[in-house]
Amino acid sequence: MSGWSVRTAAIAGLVGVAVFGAGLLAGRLGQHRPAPSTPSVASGKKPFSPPPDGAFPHTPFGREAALGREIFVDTGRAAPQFVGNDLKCVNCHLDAGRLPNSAPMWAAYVMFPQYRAKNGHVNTFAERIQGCFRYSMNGRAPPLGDKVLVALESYAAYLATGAPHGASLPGQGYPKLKPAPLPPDSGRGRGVYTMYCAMCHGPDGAGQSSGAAVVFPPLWGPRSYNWGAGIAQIDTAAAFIKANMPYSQGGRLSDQQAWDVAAYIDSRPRPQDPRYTGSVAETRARFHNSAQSMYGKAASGVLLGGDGPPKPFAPRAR
Amino acid sequence: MSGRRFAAAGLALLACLGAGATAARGAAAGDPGRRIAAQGLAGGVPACGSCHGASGEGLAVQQAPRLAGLDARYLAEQLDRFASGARKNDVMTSVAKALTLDERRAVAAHFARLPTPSTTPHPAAHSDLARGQALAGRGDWAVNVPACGACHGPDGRGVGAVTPPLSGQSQAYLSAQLAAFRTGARRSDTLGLMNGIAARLSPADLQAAAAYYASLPAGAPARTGAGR
Repeated sequence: MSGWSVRTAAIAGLVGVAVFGAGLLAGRLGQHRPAPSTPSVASGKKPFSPPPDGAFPHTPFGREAALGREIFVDTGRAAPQFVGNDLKCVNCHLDAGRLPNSAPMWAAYVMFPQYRAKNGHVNTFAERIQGCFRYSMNGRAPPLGDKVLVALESYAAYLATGAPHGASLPGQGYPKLKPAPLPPDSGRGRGVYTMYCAMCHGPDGAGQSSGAAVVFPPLWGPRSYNWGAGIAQIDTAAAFIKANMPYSQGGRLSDQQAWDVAAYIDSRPRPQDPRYTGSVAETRARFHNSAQSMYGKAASGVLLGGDGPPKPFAPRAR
Repeated sequence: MSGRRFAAAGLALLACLGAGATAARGAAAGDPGRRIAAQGLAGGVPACGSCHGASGEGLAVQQAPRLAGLDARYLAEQLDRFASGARKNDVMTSVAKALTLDERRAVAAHFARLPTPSTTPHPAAHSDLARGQALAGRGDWAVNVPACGACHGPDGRGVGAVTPPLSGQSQAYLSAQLAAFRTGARRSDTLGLMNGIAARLSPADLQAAAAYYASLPAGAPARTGAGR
């Protein structure tokens, strides 16, 4: 990983917008406002607070929930048999699944069972997590009843302690972004990426490691989420990015920047959709028939998703 | 086999050996990074080792960090920042300004090549290690502060050129840097990530985080396992 070129690229990006950048940094240095972690305060609703982190009860349930947390924050190490890339649950659900507007587990848990258009039937929470493994982790779905699913579900249930079932809690999911003033543009997005993202995620999107531990997650390429993941949709990625990135500076990017950089990231190559039918056109028509998916479209001369059937499951070498 | 061919082969072998020996001597005596580290330069560059230790292990009383085993790109960038004024330190500013770009690269490469010392962890002074550990492992999202380890690695051993190692640096050095991030006297990176983080934490929290990392052994990032 050429971190030096990361910096160089970031600096080069800055030079192009030196005036803007200098003003931005001078204005925000050291006094950047916290991310909108409690936006519901503004709307007058009291946000739900999960129990203190790690204060699990000394019961069989508490032990299961504690295991769930461990899997949540280091998924490839704690559940290697199901993980096919370098991502962890916590990469998209910050603060161990506790943070509002970062698709927190306490808000998700109370919304299941739930009908999902993605698969056309009512899903249990366990089935929903199976989807995370299949798509976001580019891995294998743990069988229903598997210890990994039981632990993760227990952890989510623990976080939702005291939350009203079926309620749409403030902070749930990623706050949907209004349509961008200009149509999302991956060319502009590349500039945003260079300036705000490449330093950590790398100019090639491959992430960066501390020794063997992946610290900054890959955003595209063979070790990232596959085409079936929710965040492979531009609107979902834009909403996550706007609320949560750059890390610790959520809310810093403009809506337009978030849309543009999401369009850039989600028009890079990534692993095949496991629902691949044998035809890119047919797979697009059946599962990606939306302006939010670049699957089956050409980007930089590459047919996205055009690299054949899904690769065999390959857990991370360790 | 003719005598001439045999002689030619022998000469070639001698030539190789000679070249190798010369190269080795050059690296020892001629490496400008190593020379500057050990002897400094006339005209305002003291030996790096006089503050950072002969092995680049750092010296807490001087707030001089460990340099041995750090990423060469990170070290070079810090020297560049001292030279440009983007990072300020009375001693280091004048040192970096007195070095050429090539000399800064050479010094950075020299310290990056040195083995990470097996330090005795520094005992914590007047700080809450449990709070430091919580900040390192979980952060404090109530004030939008991620876990230190989320960017510096699970053992605080750093990520390439992006984030430096924290483990095994002295509490004095870490505290001073966090304080400088907090006031903006040192800018962490183009995004000001550490500036925002340090500004949102209390001075006591910064002390606790510094004390916690100072209590961990220095070490290169683990090459096997998940680095935990």
